[in-house]
Amino acid sequence: MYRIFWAHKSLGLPFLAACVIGILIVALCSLILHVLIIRPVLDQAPINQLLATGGVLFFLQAAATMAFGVEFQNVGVRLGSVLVADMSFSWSRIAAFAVSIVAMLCLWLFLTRTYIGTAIRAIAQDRQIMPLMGVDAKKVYLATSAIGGGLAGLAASLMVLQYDIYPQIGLQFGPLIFMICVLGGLGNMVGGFIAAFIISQFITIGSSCLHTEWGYAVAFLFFMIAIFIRPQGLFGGKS
Amino acid sequence: MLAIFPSLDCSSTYCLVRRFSTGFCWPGLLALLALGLNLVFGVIDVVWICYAGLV
Repeated sequence: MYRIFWAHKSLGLPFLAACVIGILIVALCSLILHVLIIRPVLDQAPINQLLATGGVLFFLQAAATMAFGVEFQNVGVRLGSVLVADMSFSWSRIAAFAVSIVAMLCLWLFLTRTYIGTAIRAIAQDRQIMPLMGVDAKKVYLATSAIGGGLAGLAASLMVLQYDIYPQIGLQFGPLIFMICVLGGLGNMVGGFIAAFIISQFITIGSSCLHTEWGYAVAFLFFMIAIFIRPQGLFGGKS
Repeated sequence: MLAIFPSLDCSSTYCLVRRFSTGFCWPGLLALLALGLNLVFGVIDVVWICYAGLV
């Protein structure tokens, strides 16, 4: 989000161009992150991997604080809202929803119709066998990191329309995203997609029936109960 | 009842439908982020705790 803010406000680029630059920079950052941090710990214990990536999170926050300060920033782009049956819907949310669906469809097409996409799915199914069949796992990992980073960059482009920018915004969304991934079954993309809808309904309906803050508590409570019943996630095992 | 569910003050089917609609628009972002994290975990088998920080 800071990259888009910087490109739009400091460089004076149009918002869409700033978003494209933001997406590319995040993809590049993910590549660098993979090469410098992830690759060295690939064969190590999961706890080391968690600590390494957790350290990166705090580094990113500290770097953002140093570079942009702790103040809330805003790109200042407002899309307005639309009135449907006496209900007001923000265009930024509608746009975010539409762009997300299109991006997911594009990713699905990429994973099913291209060679590198097929290699990515093959590696995900069997990490040991695929290199024996001529697939360069390092390249596939790099491509996956770049795509993952690009998705984060795209999400950031949509988030700057709805949220203020501050260094700790990652902490606001991090646990929520992780919860969605676990609930959907870690590694299961369709499960994650459906889990996002379930959790967001729990948060919005929960905050409607109780206080706003309770929405998150209700969602996490549901998550805990669901994980007690199905530790592999609601859609685990259906990758 | 309102002491337990204070937000029901504004509640009616309208309010609930509005919340439901909002909840329908919101998860696009979350799903996009979850998709990225799931993709990385599914392929590389490393949970990027810092993934949301990249945003």
